[in-house]
Amino acid sequence: MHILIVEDDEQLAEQLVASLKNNGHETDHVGDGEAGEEQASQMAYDVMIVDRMLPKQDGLTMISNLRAAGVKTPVLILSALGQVDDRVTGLRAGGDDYLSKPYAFSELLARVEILGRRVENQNADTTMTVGDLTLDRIGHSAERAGQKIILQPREYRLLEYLMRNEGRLVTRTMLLEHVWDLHFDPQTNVIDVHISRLRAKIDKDFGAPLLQTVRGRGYRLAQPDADGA
Amino acid sequence: MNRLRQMLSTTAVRLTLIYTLLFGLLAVGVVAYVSYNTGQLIFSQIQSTVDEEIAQIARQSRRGGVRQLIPMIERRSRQPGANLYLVADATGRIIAGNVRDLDREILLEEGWQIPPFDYLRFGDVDSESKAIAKVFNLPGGLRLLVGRDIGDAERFRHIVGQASTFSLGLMVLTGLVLWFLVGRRALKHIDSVSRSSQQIIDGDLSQRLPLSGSGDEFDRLSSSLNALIERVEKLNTGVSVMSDSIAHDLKTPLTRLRNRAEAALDKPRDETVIQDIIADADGLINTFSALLMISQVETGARAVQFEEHGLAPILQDVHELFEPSAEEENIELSLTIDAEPTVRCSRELIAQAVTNLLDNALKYGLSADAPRIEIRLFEENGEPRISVCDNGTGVPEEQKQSVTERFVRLDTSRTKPGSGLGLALVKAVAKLHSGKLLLSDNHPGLCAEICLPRTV
Repeated sequence: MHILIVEDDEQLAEQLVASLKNNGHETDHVGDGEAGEEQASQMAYDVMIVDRMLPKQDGLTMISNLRAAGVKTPVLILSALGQVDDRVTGLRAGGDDYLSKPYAFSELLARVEILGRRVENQNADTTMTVGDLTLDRIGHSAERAGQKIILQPREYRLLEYLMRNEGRLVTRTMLLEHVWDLHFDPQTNVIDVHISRLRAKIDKDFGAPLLQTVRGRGYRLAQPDADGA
Repeated sequence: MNRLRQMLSTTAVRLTLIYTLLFGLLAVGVVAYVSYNTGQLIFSQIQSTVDEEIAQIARQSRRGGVRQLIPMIERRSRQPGANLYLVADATGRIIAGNVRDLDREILLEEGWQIPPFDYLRFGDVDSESKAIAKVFNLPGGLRLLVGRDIGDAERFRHIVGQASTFSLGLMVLTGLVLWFLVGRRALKHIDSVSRSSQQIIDGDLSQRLPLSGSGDEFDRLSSSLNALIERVEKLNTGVSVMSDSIAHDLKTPLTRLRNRAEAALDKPRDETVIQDIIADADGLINTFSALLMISQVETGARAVQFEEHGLAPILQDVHELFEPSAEEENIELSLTIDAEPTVRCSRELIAQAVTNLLDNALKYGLSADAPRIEIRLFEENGEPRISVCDNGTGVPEEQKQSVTERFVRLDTSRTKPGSGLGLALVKAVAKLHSGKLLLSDNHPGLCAEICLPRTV
């Protein structure tokens, strides 16, 4: 993916550039809001990572200017501000996702990769398929290897989110955000238990597991052969 | 000198000065007006008497001629309290009357001599007196002067002048004394207040502004300032206690983190060490986020957006989130909804608070057999309440207050994971919603109750 980083902290930006490059992404970096606006309007990026507080023009203004100019590139806002309501203002200004500092790089990477894919998946069909697992988006049920699987409403949403982001890492925080609409980190393993229940339904009685745990980071739903697992 | 300048610059003193000045000016005006009018009145009285007398004399001298005039003048001159009379011939020689000498020029012109002139009276030794007079030409070149000594009028004017000067002086003096007293009192008060303030500024927050006990506006001001200082002192103590706790509570995980990083240097291939380092760092980040969030919620600095939310759906979401974990640990987690209030709140914060309570209940609230956690939503006197009760070991009565403070943990050995910030956040969230957090005994176990204000 081609990613634009708008961040005034040189060290942090360098680190981001290097880590994203390691994960196979191409990056450009600018250090202030005006340069960011110019760069983003001249070149088509897959994702922008924008710090909220920037010199010359703050991140939110920059984003709303770009949105007003018709630039639709997905934006991940980074902020050192607290979490209570900044997320709401950030998203209202036209951001697509919000991450507050300090963040784990794996969290940022997971979010960026999903943001970059968002456009492709927007016009999804009434069914979704990963390997031999099919999700019926109208009947809210699943089927694997011809066997029907009954899902609780929350399990359906969990599976739907995982399948929509097939092959991508999703973190616990992302699951909590998208499936429960809660934007904080429950310190306990609540998400893990939900995942293991889902796993019991979709993986237990079948051959190769689809739902993988990425240790210390989150989960990934993928075809077994795609990942060699 | 400096003190005088300081005193001159106080409001009380300035006001006194302005009042004294205005009052003095007014008084001077009144006195001037009164004495001028008095003088005018006396003058016009004198004038009309003299006019009348000249008319009489003129009438009689026309009838009796000059021969009768002289004795008449002499007679009138000798009467006690007589006016001034003078008859002179064309050369200015005095023929009759009670005036011994005067400036002869006066006689040259007929009519009133208004500016008072000097004259000498028979019987007076040397002292000249002042008078006003009218000159009248008689047939045969004789001139008649009838006038009146204005000594009495002058004396009267003098007395009035003296009296007013005296009273004016007294007024100004009283004003000055008042000014001095008022100014000094105000200054003394302000001085002592600024001395105390200086001590407070220098860091002695236990200092309070002095009160005179009179309950005047100075006292009222001082006591509100004292309340302010008290709040600052409290906050300040809170801050220093907190930074102590932060330092203390972060030192351990930081040390652990550092030592693990060192271990990772020795065994670069050991993934578990790196995982531990990440876990430690995450723990620290979580602690910081929680601290930040508490202080944000506590200060209310960033206005949290409140919206109308039903409490029941929020609790259902949280219950549903935790239910599998509880089941996994064989804990009976129940949700009872006895009321369905709609409250202006932050869904996020309420959910976070309940989550924290559940975290605690799952961590500490477990008794050996049949652990049970009950979430309940109900109303008491129309006030919505959310309670999370467990049947675990509970919190000793004397610690129910302190556990809601930051970094206070019952588990002093700190073997269980946790930052000691959970209940502090719940308390802050309750407070932000104008409610409170109540901890009570569940016999056995703990009941934590978030009480929200009555919905309108």
